[in-house]
Order: sequence, then C-alpha cells, then structure tokens
Amino acid sequence: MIKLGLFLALAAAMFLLFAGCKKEEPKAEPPKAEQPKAEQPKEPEKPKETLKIGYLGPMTGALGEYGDENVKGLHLYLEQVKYTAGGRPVKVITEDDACDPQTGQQKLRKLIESDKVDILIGQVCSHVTLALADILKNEKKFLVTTTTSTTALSRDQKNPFIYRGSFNMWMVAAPLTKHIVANKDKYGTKGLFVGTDMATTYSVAKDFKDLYLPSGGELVKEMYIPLGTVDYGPFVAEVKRLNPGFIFAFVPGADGARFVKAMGEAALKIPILGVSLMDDYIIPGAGPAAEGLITSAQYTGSLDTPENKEFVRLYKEKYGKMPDENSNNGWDPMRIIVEAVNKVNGDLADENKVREALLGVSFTGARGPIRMSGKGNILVENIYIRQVQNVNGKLQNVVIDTIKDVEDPGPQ
Amino acid sequence: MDYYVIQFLNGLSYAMLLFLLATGLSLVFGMMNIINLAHGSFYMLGAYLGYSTALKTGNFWLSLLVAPLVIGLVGFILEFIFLRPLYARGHLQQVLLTVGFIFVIWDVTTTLWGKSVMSVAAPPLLAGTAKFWGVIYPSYRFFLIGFGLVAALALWLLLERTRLGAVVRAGVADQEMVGGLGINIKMLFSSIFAFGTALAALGGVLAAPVLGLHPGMDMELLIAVLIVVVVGGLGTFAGSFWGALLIGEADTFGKILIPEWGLVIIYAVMTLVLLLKPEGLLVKKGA
Repeated sequence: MIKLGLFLALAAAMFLLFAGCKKEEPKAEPPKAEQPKAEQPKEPEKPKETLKIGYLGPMTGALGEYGDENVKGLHLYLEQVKYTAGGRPVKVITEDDACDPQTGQQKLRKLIESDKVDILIGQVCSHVTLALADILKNEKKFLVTTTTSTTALSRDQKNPFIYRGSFNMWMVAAPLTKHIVANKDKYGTKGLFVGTDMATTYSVAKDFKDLYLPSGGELVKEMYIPLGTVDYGPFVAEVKRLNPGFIFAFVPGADGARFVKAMGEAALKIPILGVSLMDDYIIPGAGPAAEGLITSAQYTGSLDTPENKEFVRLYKEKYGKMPDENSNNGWDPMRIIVEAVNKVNGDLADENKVREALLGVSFTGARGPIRMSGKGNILVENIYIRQVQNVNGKLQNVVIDTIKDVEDPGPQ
Repeated sequence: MDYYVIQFLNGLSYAMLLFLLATGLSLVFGMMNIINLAHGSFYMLGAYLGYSTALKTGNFWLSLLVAPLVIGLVGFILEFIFLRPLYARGHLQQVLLTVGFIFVIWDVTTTLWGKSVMSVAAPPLLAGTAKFWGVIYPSYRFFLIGFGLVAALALWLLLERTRLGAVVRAGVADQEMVGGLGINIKMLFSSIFAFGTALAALGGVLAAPVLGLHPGMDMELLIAVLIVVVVGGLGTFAGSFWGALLIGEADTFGKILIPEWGLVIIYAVMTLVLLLKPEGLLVKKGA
C-alpha cells in the first residue's frame, strides 16, 4: 500500500507536468495573401515581402478564452484591410504561451528566430509580458499588447519596445474609485476590498486606497482570496459578518463569476463595484446575481457609437455572437499596428521610425477615440463606468458614465 | 457563533462534492489498481452535459439523472476499448492513457461548448436562502449537504449490505480469487469504471449551480480529490467520506482563519496524516 501511495504521488506529479503542456493547434486562419490593389509600389517589378505578425497569448487553460477572442478580433480587422499593411501582405502566426512565463519566453524566441516575425501583438497575463520585456529589448522587436494590464509596464518598467493597446489597472481603478467617492450618499464610507491573492491585486488595492482613503473613506478590511479557491462560500460568509457599505473587488476571470454568484446565493444586498470583475463575457457565468454590478473598463459591447456598431455587426456576422472586451482588444490594437506600418510604408528596419509611427497613432476605434501616449507607452482612451442591467430580458453591461481621455502619468 | 456554523456548513457542502468525486476515484483505484487522472475530466463533462440538459429541458432534476447515465456509458465504452488491453501492462501505461483522456475530453468539451464561463441556475425550489435552527444559509447548499449524506448512506448500504457490494469488496481485496469464484471480473471492472465516472459526472452536475462552468474546472478539484483519497486511505469507502470531511473543513477554515496559508493547509493536513498513519486514516488491516 505504501508503494502504491508513492506511485500515486509520482503519477500526480507527472500529470501536473503534462497538464502544463496542454496544447492546441492555433486557430489562426490561413492568410489571404491578396496582392494590394490600391497601393502604388515604387518598384512594381518586385512584390513586397510578407509582413509577419506574431500573436503570443494564452490559447489554452483558464485564460484561453481571452487569447481566443484577441485572435478573432485581430483577424476580423485584418479582413477589413484585406490583409495588407504598408503595401505588404500580412500573415499572422499564433503561438500559445499558456499564461506561463517560461513557455512565453520559449514561444517568443521561436516566433523571432524561426518564424522571423516582423512585429508582435498579444499578451494577456502580466507576469508573462514582464518576462518577455528583456527579450524584446535585446531583439529589438516591437510588441503591441492586447489585454495584459499591469501598471508596472507604464511606470518603472516602461519598455521602449512595448506599446499597450489595451489599458492598465490604474486607468480603470482610479476612475471607479472617483465614482465611489463622488457617490458617497449611495455607497457610504465603509468599504471592503476583495481581491484574488496575486501581485496585480496589491497594485489595484493601492490605486484604490490612494484615492479612497484621503477622501475620508474607511476600509473595514482588505480581503485576499487565495489563488485556486474553488468555493467562495466561506468568503461570502466573511463579507456578511463585516457588513460593509460597498465592496471594491478585483477578482478576474471565472473566479469573479463565482464570487458574484456566491454573493447572490447568500442574498446579500451589498453594492459590488469592481475592475476586471464583470466583463461582458463573464455575465452569463454569474447569472442573475450579476444584475446591478458596477465595473469600469475601456470597452463594452453595448457602446452606442457608429464605429462600435460596425465592429459588432461584422463580428456577429462572422462569429455569430456578441464581441467582448477581449475581441475588441484584438481589433483596435491590430489597427494600431496596421496604421503604424502604413505610416512607415511597410519598412520596419529603423526602430526609431517605427516608434515614432506607433506614438503617432490616433484614431477613433470601436472603443472610442484613442491615441498612443509616450508617457506610459499606453493608449489615452475613454474609460466607461458600466452597470449590469436587464435590457429586454437579457443582462448586459450598460454605460452609466464616461470618463474621457484617461492617460497614465507614466514613470513617477 | 452563527458565523462559525455557516463556515462549518460551507466546509460540509464542499466536502460532499469532494466525497462524490473521491468515492469513484477510490473505488476504481481499489479494484482495478488504476489511478484515473481523467476523473476530473469526467466531472467537467458531466457538468457541461448537465448544463445542456438543463438548458434544453428547463429541468435541473432531469440533468441530475441524464448526465451521470450518459457519462457512465462513456466511461464504460472507454474502459472496454482502451483500458482492457492495458491491464496486462504496467501502471505507467495505464496512467498515461488516462492523461490522454484528459486532453481529448478537454478538446471535445471546448469544441462543443466553447471556452466561456457559464452558469447553471439552481432549481427554483432551491434558489433562495433557507433558515434552519436559526441559521440563514443558501437553500441549494443545504440540498447539497443533504444529497451528499444520503448518497453516502446509500453507497454504504450498497457496498456493505448487498451481494453486489460484497463482490466489489472482494474484488478490492483479491481480484484473482474473485475471478476464480466464477465472477466475470472483466465485466465487473467495466461496471466499476462506469460507476466511478457516473459519480464524477453527478458531482459535476451538482457543483455547477455553485461553482459554475469553465474549461479549467477539470483540474481544479482533481488535486484536492487525490489528497482526499490519500488521506482517507486508498480504496476504502469510509476513507473517502471521512477524508473528504477532513479536507473540506480544513480547507474552509484554513482559508478563513489564516488566509495567508490558505493554499498550503490541505497539503499540511495530508503530510500530517501520512506521517501519523502512512496508509491513510481508515485502511483496513491486511488490505
């Protein structure tokens, strides 16, 4: 029996190893390498070389959905420009980093050394992006990020080869905190911070406290939920005991759905506000308990602008469902690359010119007007305060307030 | 005081889920000497199938019946086709095969249902909260605890008080002897494997209204369940039950009382148990 126990332990260890390597064939579509029609090449006898864009992000595992949507969104945008940028046909090579820094580094090397990509797009998991930073610098390859949201990359770890096409935690946490402070009559001054116990959470907690505490707000507790928690019941019981006036939560992904579900299960009527808590695609996972929840984000599918309506229409036509934040995080950042590449006429040899082009990008995307800021190497964009509401029998995020042109201050 | 009662109930409802999964895993292991690492995958498959059944028919109770039956059948077929030829080989090949199942089932699940987070509503009867002995607690979790206890009693009666149970227990003790007594051991193996996967699927359906559905769920309970099986004693039914209770409560109170240590609590408990009773809490002498 002891032998068997040992064997069991070995088997479990082996299995863990395997689980790490769960693989999936990238679903990238074959590039439609149509020759540019509108473009007037200076040397018409020589067809331009294909521009290879590498997508690196999680395609499997708990955050596989994020990568999946990034890729869907970016291909949809490339279809609109007929897979051409700067007069060159575009090809996308997708790699799965499995949200693991080591895998990410290996795949990045593969993309650079064997696929010889010209520029990179992607990233969801902050710790992976941070692990890639030095390689990008050494290899002089530009990365336009899609979802990754660590504030560090805009501040002390700002990198001249990483430009952010999404948002950082400060950019969403600060406006939401201001919303709380401005609505004291509604939420009171007795807050509870709830977050998944990981590095980013502590920076979000700081962003929240920096604005909330000086306003006279009181924090009854900072609750950090261990990673990998399956049952949120125990934490909800704790919330009930503390009985705060409101909850500021940072519980990303499927865990957020569970937390909100467990709150609903216990029928607690405490207002919940959060960042990365109730993104569009999580709502069905939380069910009716999500109603009334307030979050801040740079995009939501229900945005009522012509640019977004067009994006939603195209996306629905192709994929048969509503796009979410992550699909948009493929669409708008890909446009950043295409516009920058157009500006340098497809020639990415001179890093300074590419940098200048990226920093010069400015357009009205599906999420609203955006431009790249050099302060934190990240977009200046609108942040929307959204509330989950029942619209014609369907729960969805509805914009209740717009904070225009939020800009990260950059390294302090 | 109420607070601790509620936390105890939280631990209990979590333990019941662990128990349903651990029993199947432990039975299959005790009888067939196979660690079915794809056990969590059957749990996930059950949850998703239950989701679709509940969505199509609008009846949660039906999904509680359909998912275990279908997944049990899937388990039966998989054992019949893939595991049988490997009994003569070593443990390693068998475990590798079940690891293969994990990948295949993950791909099948994400292809059929996508990678989004989904939820199943608790049946209307159990949607709100209920009050028992002055404690307000979600009705569905009360149900979960009751269901788990009844299932445990039923399984215990089945294993300890029926002829079928006697055959199974005999199989755990000495399979060759059982074969020698004229019992179709191959058929018994397939049935036990199917029964184990059906229990996993049942766990999945029951968990869905509390935990929701997402593609990573196959792995997240597996480690805890393996720990339950090791702590309780490999291949024993009572071990799964008491092991699940111990781990469920330890995990809940650990995360509440010392959140900084929340992740290691169950491993610490396992280490402690293995140091004191290396064969698990409830292993019968001579097994």
